[in-house]
Amino acid sequence: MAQTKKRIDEIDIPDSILYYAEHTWVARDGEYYRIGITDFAQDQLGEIIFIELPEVGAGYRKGKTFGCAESTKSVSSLYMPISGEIVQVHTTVSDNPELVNQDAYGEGWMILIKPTNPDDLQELLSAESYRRQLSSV
Amino acid sequence: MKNFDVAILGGGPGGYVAAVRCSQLGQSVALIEKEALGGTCVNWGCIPTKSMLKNAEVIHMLNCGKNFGFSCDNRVVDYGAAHSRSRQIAKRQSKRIELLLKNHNIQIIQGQAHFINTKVLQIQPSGEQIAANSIILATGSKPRSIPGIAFDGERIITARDALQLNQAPTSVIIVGAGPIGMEFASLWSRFGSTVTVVEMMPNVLPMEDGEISREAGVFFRNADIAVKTATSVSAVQVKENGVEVVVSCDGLDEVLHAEKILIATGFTPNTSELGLDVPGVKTTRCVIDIDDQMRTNIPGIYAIGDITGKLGLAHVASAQGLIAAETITGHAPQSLNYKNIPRCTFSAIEVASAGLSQDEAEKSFPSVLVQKSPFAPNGKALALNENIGFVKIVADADSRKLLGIHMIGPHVTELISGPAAFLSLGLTIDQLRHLVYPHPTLSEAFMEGIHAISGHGVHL
Repeated sequence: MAQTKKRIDEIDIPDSILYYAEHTWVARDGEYYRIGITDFAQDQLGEIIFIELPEVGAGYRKGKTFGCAESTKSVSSLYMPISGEIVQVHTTVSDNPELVNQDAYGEGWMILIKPTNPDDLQELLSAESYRRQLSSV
Repeated sequence: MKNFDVAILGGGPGGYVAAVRCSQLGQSVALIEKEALGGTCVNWGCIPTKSMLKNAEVIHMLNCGKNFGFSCDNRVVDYGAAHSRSRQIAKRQSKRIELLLKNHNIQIIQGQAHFINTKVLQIQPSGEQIAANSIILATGSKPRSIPGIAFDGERIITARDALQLNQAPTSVIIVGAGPIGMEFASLWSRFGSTVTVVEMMPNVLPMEDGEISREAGVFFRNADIAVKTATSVSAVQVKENGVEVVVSCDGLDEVLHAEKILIATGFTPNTSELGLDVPGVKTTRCVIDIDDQMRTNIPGIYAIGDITGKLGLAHVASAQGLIAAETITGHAPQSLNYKNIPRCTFSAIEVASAGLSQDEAEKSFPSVLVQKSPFAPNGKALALNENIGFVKIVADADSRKLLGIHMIGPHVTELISGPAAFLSLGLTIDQLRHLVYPHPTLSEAFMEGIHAISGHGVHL
């Protein structure tokens, strides 16, 4: 039976990290930033069959697609929250996409990037703003 | 002991489709699979081969660069990457099936089952027993070896072994010029292997209409694939760096050498380990006998897919799976006309057909209409630089009904579905000649053929 989707108040939105309107999260890691999809995104997708991730060295602007996540019924694009160059790809997640469902903010991380436009960071959402965005839909 | 309405042995295209349909019809279902879900089709057949053939097609396009105004130096061709992609796709599709089954509350049991009695199965290696009111056998088939020549997985290989290679063989002998043989011949020759195909029958793709086979033979010879028809394999010896193969044609022997030999001469059904003698399921030469509703001779036991020996194709297994599910739940599903189900070959030149060949039609019907419609003048084919091959239509002159559709050329595996449907629906050429097809498309070749066979061809 298809799983019931979470209510907005059940969605996990850690305060310690930042968010992009298209449901990716951003966490600073030294000079780099780690990126994944939010609990809301993984819940909406349902069980993920496959994650397509970019190559190391590729560069993407904010808002551009860096990969896709496929569930039984759809393929969803994954959007860059800030412009950057890929320095590391979490290939484990490609082979074990269930990690994204189980631990979206931990072992479900997808890419590590070097930011190429510091201004993009200013436009990210706080946890509270992201939750407000989800509630308003 | 767990009890189910339906237990299905085998999670390939027959088994998993039957499982989903049974579940949709309100049945509790257990599906028992000993390896990966999706069976041969998803893991060691249809899907990975089509993936690798796409890589090979890209190489071919790059080789034709001059026609399209580009050249590329220092080209790197990576068979390993093509192989990795094919495995990733297979895994992806297998996972999709797993989730599909879970979403339909189907219990997936890993293992191999055999009969304890008519209603009870034992599953190895766990030893678990389950009971079911109805049991569907969908265990598929395995490659048939040549008598006296055993597969070793290294030099004498099956298609499954071939799909595990991460390097193209430098040279290979392929025994069997059917769809599987010619697909591997296309794949490896495009990756630079020296390929020799050996076929016992007089033509490549011998099950196709004679004109299709002859056209395919010309194409493959021009594509630098050595083809030896009317030739059989007498002996295979494994040597240090490859195989030495003795072939025989018209009583004359020839010795061939290659790195590997792929045997692609056919399949045998996986029925020997089911314990069929326990419930007394009737078989004929290892194939399970079924009626039009997939019933075996034992009430409550059904069989679908390759083990029924009807037509060993994935979509046939799936269609049979739907029928079995609907029969179990008291519906009266329409039976299949296996002859009219399309069959496709995804080789370097594609082939697709449904229905009777010209020869078969002429043997069965007093008067037959035949029309060939080549791709040569087709605008889309020219634009694609693929203006080779033809569509051939065979019809009954009296009833005017379609009897057979045969295609060889660009993308015909996609084109066949429409005409095959017309054939299955029993349509006449007079009904079809009013259809309007989009321009410019390859499919217009079929329409031109219908117009010409009706006596008013415009372009033919």
